[in-house]
Amino acid sequence: MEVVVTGMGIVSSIGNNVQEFKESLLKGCSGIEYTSDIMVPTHVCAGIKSFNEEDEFAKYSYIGNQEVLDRIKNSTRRTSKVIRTIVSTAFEAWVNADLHEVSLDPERMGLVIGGNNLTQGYAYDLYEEYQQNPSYLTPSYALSFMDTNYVGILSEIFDIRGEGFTLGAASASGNAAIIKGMQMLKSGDLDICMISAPYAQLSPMELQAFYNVGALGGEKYKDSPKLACRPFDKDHEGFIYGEASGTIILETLDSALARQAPIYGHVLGGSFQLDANRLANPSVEGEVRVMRKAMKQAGISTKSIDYINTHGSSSPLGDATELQAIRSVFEGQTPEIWLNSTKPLTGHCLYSAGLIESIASLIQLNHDFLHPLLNLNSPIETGFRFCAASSMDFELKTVMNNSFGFSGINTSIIFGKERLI
Amino acid sequence: MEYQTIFLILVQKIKEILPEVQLEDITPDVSLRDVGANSIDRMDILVSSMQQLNVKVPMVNFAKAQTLHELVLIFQESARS
Repeated sequence: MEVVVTGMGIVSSIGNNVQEFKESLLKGCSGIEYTSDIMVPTHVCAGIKSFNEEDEFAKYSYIGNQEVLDRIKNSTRRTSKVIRTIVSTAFEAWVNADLHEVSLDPERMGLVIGGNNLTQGYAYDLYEEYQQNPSYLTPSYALSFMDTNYVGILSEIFDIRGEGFTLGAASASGNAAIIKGMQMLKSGDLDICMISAPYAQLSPMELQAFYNVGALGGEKYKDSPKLACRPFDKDHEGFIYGEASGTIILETLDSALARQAPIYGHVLGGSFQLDANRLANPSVEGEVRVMRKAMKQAGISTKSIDYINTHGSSSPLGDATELQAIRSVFEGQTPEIWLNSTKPLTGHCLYSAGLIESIASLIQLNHDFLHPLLNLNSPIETGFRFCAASSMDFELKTVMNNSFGFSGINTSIIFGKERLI
Repeated sequence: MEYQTIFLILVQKIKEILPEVQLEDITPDVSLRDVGANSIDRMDILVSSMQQLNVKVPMVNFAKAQTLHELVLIFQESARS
């Protein structure tokens, strides 16, 4: 059973839809800016600034599916920005996939929400009111504090009645959700699976904790925020927080061909491996293992990989560990495989990072280019083929997207332009 | 507390939570369900009305109310006690 991507949607600091996001990748626009928001201890982040869901939904007024449009309207009233962004991405992906034009068995459609602890910012905002008078706590909090609220909202809008759940895998959640979706499709239980990852609605406490634990960067480049995220550069000092929500539609190849759906890429393989480690440190062994397993599942050798969208978070230990792992896996081929990281453009989107970077990988694959790797002035290692500071044309056939998370979570996905076996 | 004051607060909360509802459709003889409030909307309307009225009413007390008129009477009763 082969699995393909038939739809994509995104809202990020560098684009409120796939077309805008693609333009920003090509131009190398970074969404990282100074913020006066006290929530970010370093005052540097890539926030979603100019999103207006009505502008985005207006683009699809031609589809004429009033039932869906009404359900979107009902589901997004009185909701937070993050919910409006995820609904916008899901709708964009659904229309991209031409799902508005067909009638499918809802029980053969599934939904995976990538991410955990998704609403902590909302809880934090309500806390003061709660302390003053618990009786007046808004009753809808009983639903909206749960991550599964996203499952309810998206399944209701798109009438999805197969399996649906949230999948928490820290910063690897987006990739892990794609892998789990792929597995459900391969099991034969589903024809279509929507994979959505909302941006992390953090409270100031979570960002302060990231700062206190030494994971958050931005201090050194506070006055020049666009330089703050610098994966694999000697001056890297930690991740820069970014906001982006995204959705992709996974589908069995048979289903996609039967309804002549657009195909944006084949999911050739995906692996999800643990380090058996409760701490934040990455592991060369775990990253090597996950990349090898993904390639084995795809039935390809290291020679087939043209490009790796690295986890590349700008964390000193994380960057060094990933390069060491790539060297162990690809050995003498490292000078031939292009590497970049989407994070200097989008910030580290935490739970949704894997999904956002899968979209970035698929866009590059479809349009045969490599987006820039910004701020790499002095690489921490030599012998790698890092992308330049501006984008370049390059014919891509097979790409790898790495995503790693705290608590020893490793994921790697391989997308191909076409079937290789 | 004046009946009309309570009713107007209910109307205001309904409009805040269900902005698409027409004012003329919010009359004492209709229910929250009639104006399009789902189960969660109904709870949010009642709690935010309680907050504005500065009263506390156990939610079970509202269970028997069929109309906005009956809801106003429950709030009035609570304000008296």
